[in-house]
Amino acid sequence: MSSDLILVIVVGTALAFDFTNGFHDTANVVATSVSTRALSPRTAVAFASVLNFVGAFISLAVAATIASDFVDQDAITETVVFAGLIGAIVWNLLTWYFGLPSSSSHALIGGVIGATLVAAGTGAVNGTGLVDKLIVPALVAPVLAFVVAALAIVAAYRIVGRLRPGPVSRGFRLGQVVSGGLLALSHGTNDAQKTMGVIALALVAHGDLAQGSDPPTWVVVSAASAIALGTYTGGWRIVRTMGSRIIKMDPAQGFAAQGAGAATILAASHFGYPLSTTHTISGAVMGAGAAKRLSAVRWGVAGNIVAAWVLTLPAAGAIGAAVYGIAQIFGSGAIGPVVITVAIVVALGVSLARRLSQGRAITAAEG
Amino acid sequence: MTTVALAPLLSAVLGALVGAVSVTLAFSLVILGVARYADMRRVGRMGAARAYGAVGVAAAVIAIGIVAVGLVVVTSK
Repeated sequence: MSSDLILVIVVGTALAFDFTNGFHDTANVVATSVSTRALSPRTAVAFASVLNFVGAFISLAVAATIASDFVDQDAITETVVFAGLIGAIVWNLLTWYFGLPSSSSHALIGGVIGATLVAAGTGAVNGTGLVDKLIVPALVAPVLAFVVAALAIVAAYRIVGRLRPGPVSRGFRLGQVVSGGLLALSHGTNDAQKTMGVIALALVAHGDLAQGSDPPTWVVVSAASAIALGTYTGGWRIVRTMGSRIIKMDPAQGFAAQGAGAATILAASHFGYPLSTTHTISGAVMGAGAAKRLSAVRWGVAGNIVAAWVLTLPAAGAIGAAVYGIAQIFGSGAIGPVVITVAIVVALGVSLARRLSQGRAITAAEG
Repeated sequence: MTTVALAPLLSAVLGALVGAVSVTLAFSLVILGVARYADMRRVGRMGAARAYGAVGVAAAVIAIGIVAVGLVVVTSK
């Protein structure tokens, strides 16, 4: 009974994480289209939302990686998964609040590893899997996206460089509808699967799913819905950072950046690498910008983003570990996760109420 | 000492590189074909216009084909 309640809380928390992932991460996908005016913000977000939903259905390789390649499934309990999720959600909300892109993927994996380390020790963490499937791809993906976008934009400029700018801009804006759509699709493919993998991990711990099995259909549908809803709901702070603060782009650069980002994420998804779209699209945006003019890229903002990335894995891990420790104070049953969930919901409610009241005061003073 | 599984990583790198650059090349050729087709038609050079139009159509077919093949590969296990 207690185990059932924890599983319900874990599934709810995982879907909440998926929602915050969409809210926090997916807006990066639309920033390039919005920045070059290929799509209006409202249309871009709605379009990305639908394609994220569709993308979640096209592969399960990343879900399998999350469920089996990083931690020993025998050592995992529902409370470990819960603590890892809370670590990721808290880190996502903190970086969202301060307007910093981070990596939801690394936050999720960091949170689960931090909780696993406290619960079962270092022997339960698969170092080879972490290096093979997370750390090396995390280093390769942004560099690859940078190089691919730079090569693509150089090739594009060589072909269309002598044409009148009007038709070229119109053409690439039209192309961005497709490249932006592919990027949203790739995001849904890679990121929604992370939630599926975590829920699968909890189902294995609960004894509802055999080790190595694909997630059930209800998990796929609910993860796809949560990320699509999160995408539709928000993330505008990050849109501003990604779309204009890193670099001002023309439509050809936007097309090259989105194409490079989509190709990198889709190729990685096929091989089961859980990438961050934030890492990848940032690398692609900088590559498309740097190929034209190095000074066009605002490297200071890019540096802040890199700092947030470096912090993500250890910070989410530390929060996950702390949450697991706090949950264990209340014993191994459901009381710990229930108390922590209620505390976080109350803290978020108070924070939101304070933020809304501050917003009204500023408006009145200005008026 | 862990060794990184290089084969899938290199396949992913190659797939991303070839896919994105070839689609951008093909789409740039579509824009070139369409823009030059309009220019040539405007000055009455119908032969050149038809040639550029053919380049644009062929490039569009190639771009769509690359995207379609890429999606089929990703969706296959």
